[in-house]
Amino acid sequence: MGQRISDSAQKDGDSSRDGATESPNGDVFNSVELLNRCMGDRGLVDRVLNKFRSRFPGEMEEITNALKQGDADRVARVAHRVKGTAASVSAKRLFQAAADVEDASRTGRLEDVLPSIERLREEWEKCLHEAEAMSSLEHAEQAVISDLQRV
Amino acid sequence: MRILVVDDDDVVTEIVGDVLARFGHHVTTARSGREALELMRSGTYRLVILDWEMEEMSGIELCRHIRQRYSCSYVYIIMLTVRRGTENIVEGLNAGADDFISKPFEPQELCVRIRAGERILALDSRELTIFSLAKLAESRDQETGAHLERIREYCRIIAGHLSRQEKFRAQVDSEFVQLIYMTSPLHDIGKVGIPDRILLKPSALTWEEFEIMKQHAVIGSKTLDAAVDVHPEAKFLCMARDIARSHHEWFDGSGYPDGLAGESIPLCGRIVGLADVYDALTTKRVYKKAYSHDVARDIILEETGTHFDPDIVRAFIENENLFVKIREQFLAREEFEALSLLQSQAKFIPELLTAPEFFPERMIPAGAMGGKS
Ligand SMILES: [Fe+2]
Ligand SMILES: [Fe+2]
Repeated sequence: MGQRISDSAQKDGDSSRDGATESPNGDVFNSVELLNRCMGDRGLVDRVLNKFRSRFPGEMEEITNALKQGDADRVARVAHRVKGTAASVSAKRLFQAAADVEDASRTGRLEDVLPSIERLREEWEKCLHEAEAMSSLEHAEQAVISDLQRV
Repeated sequence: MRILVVDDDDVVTEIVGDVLARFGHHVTTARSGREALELMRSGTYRLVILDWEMEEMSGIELCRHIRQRYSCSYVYIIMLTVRRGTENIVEGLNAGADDFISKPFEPQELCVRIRAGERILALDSRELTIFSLAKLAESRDQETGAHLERIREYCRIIAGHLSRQEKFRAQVDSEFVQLIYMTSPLHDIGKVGIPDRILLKPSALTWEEFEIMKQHAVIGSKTLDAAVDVHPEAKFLCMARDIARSHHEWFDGSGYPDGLAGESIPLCGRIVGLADVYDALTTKRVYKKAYSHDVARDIILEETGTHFDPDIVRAFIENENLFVKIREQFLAREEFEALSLLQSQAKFIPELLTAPEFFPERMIPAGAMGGKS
């Protein structure tokens, strides 16, 4: 299932970064991992992804406002929180983007932060699309589920 | 196990809460350190999973707060964080964390860590020791059944309620709630010094006998006082002593042994006093039947301000459904146990089924044992 979702999400050419160990398609969500974390419960995955989606406007707004006020510390804190959320839903690239924002704003040079925030927004938007796709996919094939229920 | 999960990330609380519930835990979630400390006041959480990075109060600060406030019984703290590296671990350990789980967590790992925490908590055996002591003291007085078990539940309910009231917040925190739960079973420990002919007498006591019976409050507090002398830092001993001494005081000053009134009666004694009477009223004794909850409530209401502290009566009334529930739970348990005992013994000695000794409180009418004086 991870493969199929990844294929559908594969729009840009950012495929080289983790080529050696990961799927060559930079996946938006590692849905196998996420499903495993949710103990194979698709209902829980859905609820989690809904929460994840609803967080987007608030967090982006907070980052934008903090940026306007020149509050680098606050930008870093929000980015850190997003990083944690991204890790929890196994959104690897979002995680990386949030980590970049956090790192850049910890150094206090807000002008460097701007591009990283743009990338964060892009990544998050991809995640939103993907999350929607995942819940409308009528969920994964039985084969995958049974594979995950090996415990 | 009751677990408190503290994280400002609702994605995390959703997954962690769901996963832990699946493994049979009761999970409460809090979104901030402040909210967590508020919930901790109930004294019911001994295992806390908390996020490192939170707005306002960080996980580290929360950890320190918990360690400062709750010294009486151990709270096991697991920190959940994306942070790695030795210096972070050291900082967390310094603040008092017991274990770390890195985000994103894996369900199996989470459960293994929690099991480790449960093992540590089980080592904290003071509670068990105290309770066995109380049970031993009570063993001569056979009719009271699960009296001690019920008393401590009632006390926890009342204290938990008070901890949420403005007036009592400063005095009644989670430590108080846990202490009263732990020590209320010792309230009658002084009965070890009361002779059998009085303690076990199935009919009403004479004036002289009652004077001797009253001594149990003094005997108990003196015994515990000797222990307080040796371990003055042990808060549970101090509370146990206060309870033993003051659980028969009346709010209007007409109780015993010291005739204290109002707030000069230790709060713990006022709480146990009500719990003790409620339990005596609602359970069967040699000399009387069990009253219903409604009758017991009316009697307690009647004595508000004379026997009982009005604040404590209010706490009782506002939680009366919980009292009823606990009483029913224990009733069902006792009936089940009595029945299984009866069945197992009847197999070997059928006469037991008709022997009055088997259920003295059911079969012997009050006074029939010839103990009148
Ligand atoms: Fe007593
Ligand atoms: Fe009692």
